[in-house]
Amino acid sequence: MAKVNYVACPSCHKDYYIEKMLSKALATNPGLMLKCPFCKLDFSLEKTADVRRKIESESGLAKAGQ
Amino acid sequence: MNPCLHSYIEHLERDMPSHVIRIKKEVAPEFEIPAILELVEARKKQPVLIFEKVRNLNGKLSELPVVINLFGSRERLADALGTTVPKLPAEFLVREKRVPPVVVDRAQATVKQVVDIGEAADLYQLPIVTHHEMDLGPYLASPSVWVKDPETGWTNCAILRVYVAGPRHLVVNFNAARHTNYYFQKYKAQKRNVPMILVMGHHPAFFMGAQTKLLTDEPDIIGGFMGEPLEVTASETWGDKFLVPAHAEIIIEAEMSTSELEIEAPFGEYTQYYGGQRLGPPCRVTAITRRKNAYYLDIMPGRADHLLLDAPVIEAYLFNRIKAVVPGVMAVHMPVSGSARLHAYIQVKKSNDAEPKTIIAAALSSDFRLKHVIVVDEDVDVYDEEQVLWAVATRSQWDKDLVIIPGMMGTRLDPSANDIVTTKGGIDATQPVDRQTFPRRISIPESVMSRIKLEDYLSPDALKQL
Repeated sequence: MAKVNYVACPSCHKDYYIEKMLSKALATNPGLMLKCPFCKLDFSLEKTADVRRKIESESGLAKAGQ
Repeated sequence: MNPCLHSYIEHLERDMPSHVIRIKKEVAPEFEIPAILELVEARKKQPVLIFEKVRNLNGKLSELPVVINLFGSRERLADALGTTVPKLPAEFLVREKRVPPVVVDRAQATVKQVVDIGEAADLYQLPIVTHHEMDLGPYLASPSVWVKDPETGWTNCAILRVYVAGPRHLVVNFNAARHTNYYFQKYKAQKRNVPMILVMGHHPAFFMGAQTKLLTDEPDIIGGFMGEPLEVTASETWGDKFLVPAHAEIIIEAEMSTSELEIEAPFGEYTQYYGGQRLGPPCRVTAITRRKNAYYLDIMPGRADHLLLDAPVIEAYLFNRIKAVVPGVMAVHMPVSGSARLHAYIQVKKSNDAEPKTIIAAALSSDFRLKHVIVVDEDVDVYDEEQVLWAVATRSQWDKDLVIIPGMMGTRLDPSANDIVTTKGGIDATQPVDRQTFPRRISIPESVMSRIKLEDYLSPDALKQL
């Protein structure tokens, strides 16, 4: 358990950690649904990344950040 | 009829009344019960707490009182087996024998007084506790989970934490090294779901018997611990093919999937850290049966209630193995400061100066979770942590008395370990065998200590202050 991988909930923005085996499962299946222990909402890291890319793309942040 | 949780609480209230506190004020199952227990523990007391008015997960007042901290005292564990604290590990070894269960008719089974099957089996009717801030939600923290070997028919019993994901929906967690996983893999190979029962609440001797680590038909061993055959009766889901304890407080019957995995955790583990979110097999609840006036037994994770139940089992196994190597070993104590798993204090009346290091090596390889060992002489009480640390302070020189073994198998719940690889160590805090080379410990003459009674010198008011 020495290394833990933190993930942030896209709804409440609090972060928590997942186990190594779940990290490996996410590497092959990034659409796997996680559940935030704080706000109890389900989310997927893939969708979070998609939403972030969309927001960045629509707002021009991606370009501005380059 | 077998002794049960009801009969044990009646015994405590009658014979050891300072060990039980009933709370009549209404409490919520989310965090409030753990908060009250933590404040009681802060006063260095470990009574059983019985909460009489607790809301269930539907937000209504539950019919079931919640019992917590049943296992939080070594004195109670010893009492439940009719022995004393120092003799508890030895008593484990004496009782670890096979006494097969007997089948009783369901009419005699108190656990069949209320029977809910299918849709009527609603976990949300129970006052299930959420313990720590980052726990994913309510967890069944006390169930003895019974799973049968599909080949031999043997039943494995293990206390597992189980996430309550819905009114009839559970997600289980078990370690790959557990016998539960060994049986689970057999069902998985056969592409079958796993029939399982969750035994919620019974006499403490039942749980101590269920915690032995033998690969056998474990209800037989529970009978050994209870001192009589465990009474069992047919389950609602599988009938005579899966027998359940007749005098448990609550039985949850469920089928565990071997083809799906779902999210569970974070959950507060015994090391007092949160375990990370992970995947576990989901389960569909098929029936819930219980006594009419059932107690809902909870175990407080990471605290004495959780840690001490297992400690005498580990101590007994360690004692047995080390004594086979070094016969002078007198006692083994797994203190709560090491989560009752990671530290062992071992007392020895040594006959040569190589024995302490031999004890350290034997102990560290006997239990994968054990990480640090301190070996002390026969004049040091291993149950008194101050005495043990005094021995370390005055009887060890770490250039010659320290043992360090890197790269051993450990527990992945230790956050300082590299997954399951850990560095273990031990300290020889004993005096040399040749006592003529070592100073003598201070003492007051025994003849004086034995005749002095405080009552003869201090007023009653002064005695009360002590």
